[in-house]
Amino acid sequence: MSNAQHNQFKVENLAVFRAEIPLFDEVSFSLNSGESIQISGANGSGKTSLLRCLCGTSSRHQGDISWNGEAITGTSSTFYSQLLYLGHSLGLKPKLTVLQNLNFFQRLRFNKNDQIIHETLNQLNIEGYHDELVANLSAGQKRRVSLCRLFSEPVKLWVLDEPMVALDAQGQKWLEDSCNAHLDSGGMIILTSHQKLKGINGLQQLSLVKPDFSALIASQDAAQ
Amino acid sequence: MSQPIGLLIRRELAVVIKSRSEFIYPLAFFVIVTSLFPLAVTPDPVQLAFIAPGVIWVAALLSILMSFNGFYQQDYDEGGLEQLLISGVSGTNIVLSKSIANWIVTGLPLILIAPVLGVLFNMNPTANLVTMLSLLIGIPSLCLIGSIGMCLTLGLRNGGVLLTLLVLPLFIPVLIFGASAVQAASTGLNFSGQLAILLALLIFSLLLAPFAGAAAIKVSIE
Repeated sequence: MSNAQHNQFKVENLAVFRAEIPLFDEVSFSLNSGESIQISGANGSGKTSLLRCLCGTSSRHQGDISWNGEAITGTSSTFYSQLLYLGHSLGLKPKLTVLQNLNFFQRLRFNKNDQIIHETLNQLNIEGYHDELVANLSAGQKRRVSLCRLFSEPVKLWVLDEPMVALDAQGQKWLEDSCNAHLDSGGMIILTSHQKLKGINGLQQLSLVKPDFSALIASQDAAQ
Repeated sequence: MSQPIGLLIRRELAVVIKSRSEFIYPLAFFVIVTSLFPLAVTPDPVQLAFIAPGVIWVAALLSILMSFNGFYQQDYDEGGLEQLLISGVSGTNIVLSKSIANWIVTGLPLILIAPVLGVLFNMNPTANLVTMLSLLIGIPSLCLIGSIGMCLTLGLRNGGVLLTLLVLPLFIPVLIFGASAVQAASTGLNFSGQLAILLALLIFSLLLAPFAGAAAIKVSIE
């Protein structure tokens, strides 16, 4: 792999706060091209909050998040041209068709390419729905439409929040295969899931640990 | 930079054309409210012509206020705003494109229907023309100022009431000079001063509102 294609996403001593209380113990990790990481933790442990901080949409955090050695919010950072975030709300306009939605997101950063959209919709078994309004689709079909963006927008870093939700077995298998293909071509993936994702090669694990408040309180009591 | 704005405007327009209610409701509101005044106040043509500028401008202002929700709140709820920011679209571009789309969808129909209501209120042709002109320059300022308030109240429950409290005081200069331009025209006085001030207000809000709105979106999205 040439040096120009190598990317690094680095998180150092990151703590995320809600109402000034840390959600979990500080985390640090770094991802290089071709690496992936699964973030796990109980409900309410701050997985989604963490991902939102990693994408720069929330600033309730301390610590450094950098892309190729530069802070992601830096003015000359190329981070946002290489990021795709799929969260719980998909950002699809219900009153537009599947193709209109996908075309819009594609053309924000890339050239129009209907062929790749049709191919991916075909792989996801929803090719016949490209002229259907998103409002008329089921939850699983909407999820598949948003997953289509993984291929219609060829970026390096995928940040996926519970991507397996509402997907059937065939869809989950497709997603795992897609992740492997993305990693093989030098991409990076950060995802959260409650499932064991054995199908993704070399998936690192990071679990969020609740801070030990009792020790903190005890030390403060001792000080007093 | 210009390419995303065109793309964003086209998307906003595509959504509105599909849903229709977004531009029909404010327009219907405008027509109904103004046509109630002759019934309630007086059918006397001379007095109607006297109150017409104020009535038309107040009704236009309120129907613009009605239209903001559809442009910002839905996009926020669906996660669309977040996706735009993550795709590298700047907040200023978002506010600018939504204001332009808002002006096209809500403002232009009001401007086109205003002369019909002017005839209903027995206004003379010059005053009618000035009504259109003042709305043409004034409504974009309202759209831009309103976008700041809308971005600040995104995600709040009962944000609509707060929005009204936030932006109505800022609407007042536009209202005063808009209505007074029409008033001057209907009494045969010179109205170019008022229109010049409306234009100045538009330039002022065009320069500041996108940045204020972008900062407000950032706060709301967190």
